[in-house]
Amino acid sequence: MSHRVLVCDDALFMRTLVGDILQQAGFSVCGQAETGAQAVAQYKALKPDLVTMDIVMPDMGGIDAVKEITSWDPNAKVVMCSAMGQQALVNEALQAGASDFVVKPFQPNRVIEAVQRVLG
Amino acid sequence: MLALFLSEGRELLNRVDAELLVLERTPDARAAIDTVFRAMHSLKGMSATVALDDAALALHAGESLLAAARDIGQLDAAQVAALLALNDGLRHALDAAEHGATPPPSLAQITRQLEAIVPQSAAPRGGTHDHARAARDVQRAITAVGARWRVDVTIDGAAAIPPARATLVLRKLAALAPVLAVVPDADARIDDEWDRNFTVWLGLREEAAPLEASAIEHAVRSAGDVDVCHATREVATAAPSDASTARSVRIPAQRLDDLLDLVGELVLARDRLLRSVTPVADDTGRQALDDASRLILQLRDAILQSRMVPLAQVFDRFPRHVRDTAHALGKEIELILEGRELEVDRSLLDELSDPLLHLLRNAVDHGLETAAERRLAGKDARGRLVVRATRDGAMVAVTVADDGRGVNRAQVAASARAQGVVNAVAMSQDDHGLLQLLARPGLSTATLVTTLSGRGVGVDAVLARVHALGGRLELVTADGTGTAITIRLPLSVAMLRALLIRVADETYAIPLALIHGTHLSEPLRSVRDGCLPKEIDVAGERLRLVSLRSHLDLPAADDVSGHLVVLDGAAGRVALLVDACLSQHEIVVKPLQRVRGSASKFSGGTILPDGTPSLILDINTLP
Repeated sequence: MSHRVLVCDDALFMRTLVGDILQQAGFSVCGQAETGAQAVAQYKALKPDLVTMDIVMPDMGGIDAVKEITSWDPNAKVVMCSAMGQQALVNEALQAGASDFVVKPFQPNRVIEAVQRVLG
Repeated sequence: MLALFLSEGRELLNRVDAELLVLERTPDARAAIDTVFRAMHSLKGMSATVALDDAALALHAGESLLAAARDIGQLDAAQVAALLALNDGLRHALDAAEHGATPPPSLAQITRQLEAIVPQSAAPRGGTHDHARAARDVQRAITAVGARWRVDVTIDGAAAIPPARATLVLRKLAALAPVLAVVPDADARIDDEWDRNFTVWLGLREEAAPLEASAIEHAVRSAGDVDVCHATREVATAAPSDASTARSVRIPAQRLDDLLDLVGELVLARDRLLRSVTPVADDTGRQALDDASRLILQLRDAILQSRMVPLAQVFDRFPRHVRDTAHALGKEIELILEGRELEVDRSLLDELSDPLLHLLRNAVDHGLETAAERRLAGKDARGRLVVRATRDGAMVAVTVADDGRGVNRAQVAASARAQGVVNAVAMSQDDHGLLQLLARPGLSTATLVTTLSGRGVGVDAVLARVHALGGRLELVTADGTGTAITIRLPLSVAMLRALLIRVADETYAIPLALIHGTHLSEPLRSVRDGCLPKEIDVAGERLRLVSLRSHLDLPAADDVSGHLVVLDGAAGRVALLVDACLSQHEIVVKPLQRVRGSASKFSGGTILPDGTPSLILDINTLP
């Protein structure tokens, strides 16, 4: 059974890109979210195996979303998606409970490596 | 271990102080410049070993200044003042280290002042180092005492946001065992100049199963983007609960030294007593004297025995040291220690550690090749470094052997020629001559000036130290196969058996351990001192002949009817012509206050059984 992934990013382009990368590697994308608040709601509804989370999103940012998700499910596995130069934010997200991170521009193998590492 | 560093470090600082004061009065005392240089070099290596990074940096700056001064041949008043300030700063740093406090920030300032007055050509590297940060790192390393594991990690060069990756590595480690310290700290890791290396000290999780290196390394790698990971068990710090230590007492080393000094005097007094009393003593008195005399010798032996400590106390610093050095140079090295259990006099142990660290650094830095070079040469990628201690009669021999590239004779010869050694090429052909060339002050075969072994000062510093202790150095090297350097020292440097000899109505002592035999010089009777043969047959062996009279610049004798003492000097076996061999005695070695400017031909002084002072010949200064 393939792992179910929730993809969160405010840009459709990025959601599609990440979704494609994951699906080609045999994962199934069970849901998408454009804001942090949506991400939290979707997580509670879908209980995915893994979340990919953009850091900067409207409404509720990725870091706050990670905090809410991990406090609701301490075993939640969240991979942060960061742009270049967001080093401090990535660190903050890791402190908040994120499991790993990838940096844009995405290289498919790096994304898959991170996801596989987190899923163990 | 820190205590040993502190006591040695302070001793070196005292030596530097004394020499600097000499230089203040006579700026062109080259010997003093050399001594200060060597002392600072030694202390630099030691400081780096105990992770006193900013002390090491400051010393590196001081060394650069001295290297430049050595070229010119003098130190001006401002430079001496700056070096004295450095010495004071280092003292404070040592005091701070002793109390586990943060090193004083003044060192960074001193370093900058030193760097400012170093002539341009000798400007040091690493000037941009953040001293406050180094101080914090040192603090962390010190608080990690009691750690069970040390984990050295390098984040992959291709990794995005290495500091964040390091955070993940730390999270994985924290799941295994308490993280006691991390160097560099989080602030330093987010710096752009961070080199992606960090070290983690792990403590013990009481309830968990014992950790294995493989488990730690697996956990670290599971964080992703890890290039290098080494987990090493920390040498357990002396646990007070250990059964063998429960019945031992710690006493200040100085008390042992005092005891030895006293018992040495007692043995001498016994000798005097035996000689003056024996002829008139009656049977009872003689019996009592014999008993007392025997007990005094037993007491002496017991005190000497109480001073014996295993070489492990010094050897056990080596694995960490070699690993750090090898790591810094990107080399793979297997260190093998043999003879850790061998016991030597405490004073010898203190004296051995510095020269050995020098030799180890040289082997790691210059002797052993990188893994790539070794593979090209058809060798195992991992270099072998062996430190082996053996007992050899009244001497202890410690060999540092590597299977590296060997000493490059042509390169050494070329450097020595450039320094003005005319027959350098011929000398470099055999190992003995090669060692003499390597030991020339300032001779450097290193292509790089590194913070580890510096400017080729090592062998020169080692040789000076070993000679001062009445020992000697041996070198065996083969191109492409490796190098072995052996230090031979008398087992005890405080007390030794000596042969007393007489020349020009003066009595001198020669350590018995270095003597092969004595012979009457039959064929020399009719020869005048001024025209002695260069060589002589002694017991079927052709030996170089050295006249002690001419060596000590004493007036020539009309009648050369002397004894020959056959001994092993620094330049090989020689027959030493003396006026007479007197007797063998147990002597207590008193260090000599070095007389400035005089090339000392003596390694120490002693008081003879009849109460007169005598000098101990430094065999290594024989031509």
